[in-house]
Amino acid sequence: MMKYFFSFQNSLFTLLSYRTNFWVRIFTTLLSIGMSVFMWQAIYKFSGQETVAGIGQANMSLYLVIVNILTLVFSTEPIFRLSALIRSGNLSVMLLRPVNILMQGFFEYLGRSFPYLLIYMGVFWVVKPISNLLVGLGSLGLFLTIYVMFYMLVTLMGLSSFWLIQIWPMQPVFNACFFLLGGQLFPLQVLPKNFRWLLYNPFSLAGNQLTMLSIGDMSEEEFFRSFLWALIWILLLGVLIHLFWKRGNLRYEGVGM
Amino acid sequence: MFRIYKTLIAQSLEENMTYRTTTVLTIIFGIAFYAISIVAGGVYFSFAKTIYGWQFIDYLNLITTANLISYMYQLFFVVSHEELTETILQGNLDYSLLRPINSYWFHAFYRLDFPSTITVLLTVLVESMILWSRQPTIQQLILYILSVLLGVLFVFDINQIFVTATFWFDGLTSLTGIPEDIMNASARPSKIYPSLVRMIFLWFVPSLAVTNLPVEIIQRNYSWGSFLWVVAIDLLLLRLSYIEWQHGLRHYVSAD
Repeated sequence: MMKYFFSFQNSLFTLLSYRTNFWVRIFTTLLSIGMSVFMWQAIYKFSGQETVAGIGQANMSLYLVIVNILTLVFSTEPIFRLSALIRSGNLSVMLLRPVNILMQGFFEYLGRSFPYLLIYMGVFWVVKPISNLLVGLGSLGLFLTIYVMFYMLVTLMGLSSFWLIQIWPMQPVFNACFFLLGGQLFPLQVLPKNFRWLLYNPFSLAGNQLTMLSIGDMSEEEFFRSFLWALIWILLLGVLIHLFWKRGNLRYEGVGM
Repeated sequence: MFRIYKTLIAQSLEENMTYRTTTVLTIIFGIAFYAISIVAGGVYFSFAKTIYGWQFIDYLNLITTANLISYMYQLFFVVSHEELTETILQGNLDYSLLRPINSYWFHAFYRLDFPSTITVLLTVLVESMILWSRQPTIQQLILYILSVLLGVLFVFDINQIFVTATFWFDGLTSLTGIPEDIMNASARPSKIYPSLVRMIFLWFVPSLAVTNLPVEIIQRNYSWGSFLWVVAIDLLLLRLSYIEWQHGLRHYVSAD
C-alpha cells in the first residue's frame, strides 16, 4: 500500500510545484463561476419568479460555485498520462513493476485532485454542516463511489490510445460533456421533464448530482437512484476497461509510435 | 511583401491538408462549442423573455459575433502565436532575424489556420440571417463590420502581448490561455456584471466593450465615445506589443 501512497504524494507535490498552473486554473474557474452566477442573477431578476425549476436564487449561485469546483476535482489527467505511456512505449517499464498500473493511476489522480478536494470539502462543510452521522456517511459513500466511477471513465478514455493516434480531441469532448451533460452551465433540473433521464449519466452524477447533494437539494429517492446508477456505471466501465486493457495489450508493441 | 504572405499561405494550406483528421476534428469542436452557447441561451431566455432589454435574438447576435471574432483570430493568427511561443523558447528566432523582413509582422502572419475558414463562414452565414431580420441601415452595417475587425485586432493584441512575454518567462505556457478565457467570459451582455467589473472590462481591458459594441450598434444603442475608445485602446495595445517585441529581441540570447 505504501508504494501507492508515494504515487499519491508525487503527483500532489508535482501539482503544488507548478504553482502558476495551479493559480491559473483557480483564476479560470473563478471567471467561469462569475460568468454563470451573474447571468443567472439577471435571469432571476427579469423572470419575475422566486424559483426556477424549484431552485431559489441563493441556491442557484451556490450550485454554480460548487459545480465549477467539481470540474477541478474531476480532471482529464489520467487520459493523457495513459496515452503518453502507451505512445512513448514507456508502458513496458510500468508493466515490469510490481504495481497495478490502474491502481497506481488512481492514487496519482487522487494526489492531483487533493487540493481541489479540500476546497470542495471546505465549501460543503460551510454550506451544509452535517449534523446526522448517517447522512454524513451516506454522502461520503456516494461521493467516493462517483469518484471511483469517474476515474474509471477517464481511464477508459485513456486506454483508447492503444488504437487512436491523436488523443487531444478527448479534452474538448470532455469539456463539452461537462458543460451540457454535467450541468456546468445550468442544473439539468431546469430542463423539461422528458430530459430527466440525463440526470444519471456519468458526467451529471459527478457534476450535477454531487452539487445537488452538497447544497442539500437532493431527495432520498434521488440519492439512492444516483447511488444505484453510479454502481451500474462502475460495473459497465469495469467490464469495458478489462476488455480494452486485454485487447490493447495484444496490440501494444512497446516501441512507441 | 504580398509575395512572402502568399508563400506563407501556401505552406499553411499544405500543412493543413497533411493533417486532415485534425482539420475535421477542429471544425467539429469549434461548431460544438458554439452550439452549446446557443442551447444555453435557449435555456436562459426560456425563463425570462428579456434580460436588461436584451431579447434572445440579441443574445444570439452577441454569441455569434463573439464567436466570429474568435474564429477570425484563429484563422489569421492562432497558429502563428502557437509557433512563436515555441520558436522563442527553443531559440530558433535567429533565422527570421537574419531575413530582410520585419520580424514582428513576419511572425504575426506566419501561418493561416485553414480549418477555421469553415467556422468563420458558418458564423458569417448565421450572422447574415440575424442582420437580415434586424434590417440595419448601411451606416450601422459598416460600423458593425468595423467593430468586428476591431474585436479581432483586440484579441490579436492581448495574445501577442502574452506570447511576447515568453522572452522573459518560460513557464508562461499556462498563462497563454488567459486571453481566451477572458474573451469567453465576455461573451455575455455587459449589464449582467456588477459595475466595478463592468468598468474594468469596458474601459481598461475592454473585452466586454469589444463583444458588446457590435450588438449595440445593431440595437441602435451605442455611443461614438465607446467606439472611438475601442479604436484607441486597440492601437495603444498594438503599439505596446510592438515595443515589447523590440525589448524582447534585445533580451533574446538564442539559447534554448
